[in-house]
Amino acid sequence: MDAPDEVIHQSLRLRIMATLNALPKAEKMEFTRIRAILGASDGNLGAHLATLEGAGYVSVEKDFVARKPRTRIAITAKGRNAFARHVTYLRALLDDPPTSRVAE
Amino acid sequence: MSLSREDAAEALRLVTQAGQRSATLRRYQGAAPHLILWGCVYAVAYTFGYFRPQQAWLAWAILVPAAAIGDALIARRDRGANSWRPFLAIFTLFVAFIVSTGAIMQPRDPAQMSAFIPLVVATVYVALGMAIGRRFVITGVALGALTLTGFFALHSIFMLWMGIVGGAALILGGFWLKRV
Repeated sequence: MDAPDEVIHQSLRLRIMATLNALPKAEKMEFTRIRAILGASDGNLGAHLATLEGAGYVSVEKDFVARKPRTRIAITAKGRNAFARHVTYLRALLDDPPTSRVAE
Repeated sequence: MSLSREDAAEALRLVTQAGQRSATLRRYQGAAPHLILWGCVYAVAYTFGYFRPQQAWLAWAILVPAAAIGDALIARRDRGANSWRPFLAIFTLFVAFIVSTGAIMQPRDPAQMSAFIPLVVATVYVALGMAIGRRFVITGVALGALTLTGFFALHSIFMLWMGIVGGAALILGGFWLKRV
């Protein structure tokens, strides 16, 4: 991979993806729980989740439990692959930074 | 978009931190209902044992298998159809250990076994906590300390102490594990 994933790399989106990536396949996490884990505001988290959803990296499911609205988020297979590629890119950058490649 | 080596290091630090926190909190969340369930068992069985010492065994004989079934159902709900099997294996191993220990040590005072079992549980929590997360360690240390305090300082009301304080400690520990 030659370039970072610009959708994922933003700090909060990176942490959202890392948080969801730690869950088993198809497991969802409630919006309120992600918000508490990451210490983000409703609006900020909602905006970044919309960006990730737009890229197909997360799926957002809304329903009602005991007449209260509930929003649950899961990482998609596409999201897991993109996250793994991005982390691989970051590790490669540490192991073999572009400057050293040029110097060689 | 180009990233420096420092940017990459900082991003990887965030990834590791968020991933570990998410995994730890998920384990806590999974364990929470089990702790609350066993806290209720402690509260009822020990308190019953204090007021009716002769029939204490009856409360444990009913509540322990019921709680084991409860554990299996919680595991099945949270982790899928076959996940009750490890719980059954751990439960069977634990019961076998306690029965064997009781047979070898032959305690003269019922309070001895009633203190020994939560001390074993507390030790297991601390050991688990070293691998999973410090909330287990704190819950285990609290349960162990409360058990020892009740056994040595409040022996005459030990069963009641364990029912109210020991049971409450596990229930509160369970609710604490649920929190982010």
